[in-house]
Amino acid sequence: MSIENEPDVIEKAKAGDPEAVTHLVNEYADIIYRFAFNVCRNPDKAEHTTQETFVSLLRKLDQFDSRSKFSTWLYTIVSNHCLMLARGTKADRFVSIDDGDEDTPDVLLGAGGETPLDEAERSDTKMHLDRAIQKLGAEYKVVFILRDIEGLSTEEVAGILNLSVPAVKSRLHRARSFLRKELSSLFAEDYHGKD
Amino acid sequence: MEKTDTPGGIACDQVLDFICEQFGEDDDSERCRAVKAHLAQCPDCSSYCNSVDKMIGLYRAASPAFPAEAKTLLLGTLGIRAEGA
Repeated sequence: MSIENEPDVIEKAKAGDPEAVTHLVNEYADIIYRFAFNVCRNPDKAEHTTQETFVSLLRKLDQFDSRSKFSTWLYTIVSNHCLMLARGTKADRFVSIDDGDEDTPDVLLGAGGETPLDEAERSDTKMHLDRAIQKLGAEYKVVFILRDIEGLSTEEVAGILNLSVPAVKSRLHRARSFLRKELSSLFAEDYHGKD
Repeated sequence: MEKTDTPGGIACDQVLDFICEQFGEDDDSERCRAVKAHLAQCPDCSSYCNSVDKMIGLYRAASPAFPAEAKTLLLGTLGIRAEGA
């Protein structure tokens, strides 16, 4: 994922060129929003995080080292925003799978603000997906999303989150196992309890 | 077929470690071929692999695009007038 002539676009955006900034928004807003949505499973919070990320991005654009991959830098900014939001919002209490019984976490569905009608309109599958990932601790969730949903390499995820490669692998394995267990009813024919 | 602890010459925990690194990537390395041989003979690892693959597919499919109105609002926040606004 990158824009044609990306270094040129970034240089122009640094100088405040509106066309270049629009180009960056058009290219990367979907990616940032999708990432933020997968972390918080709430459209309003995801929109807010996308806005905050772009404001930070433009403010820090001078610090971007053009030898790095722009998308990786962007993921670093949005990951930091999402982790800060997760740590700072009381409504978003996450279950740490480092603590206690992984099989029976408390049901902490986080993010409120939805009406009963909204809830009823969700499909069963989407509701299962939302509930499962909301139970996962933010540190695990971010690894799972970057590696499996966004398709980044283990090394890229380690760089973005300032973790060692073994730490990324460990968190990823635990996140996958936790989610798989939570979602076992969606693929019962494949589920034999191996984790 | 006789069941062994290391189908394909590789143990289940090594398979999970490898899947963790390589999921969704096409690799023809010696270890990848051993993992494929293991998966063909180990129903537990095979079911794990299938369900994780489905799970990732579901999450990817359920990932929404940035709403157009939100993009207009974002451009406004950044001091840019959106086309057609």
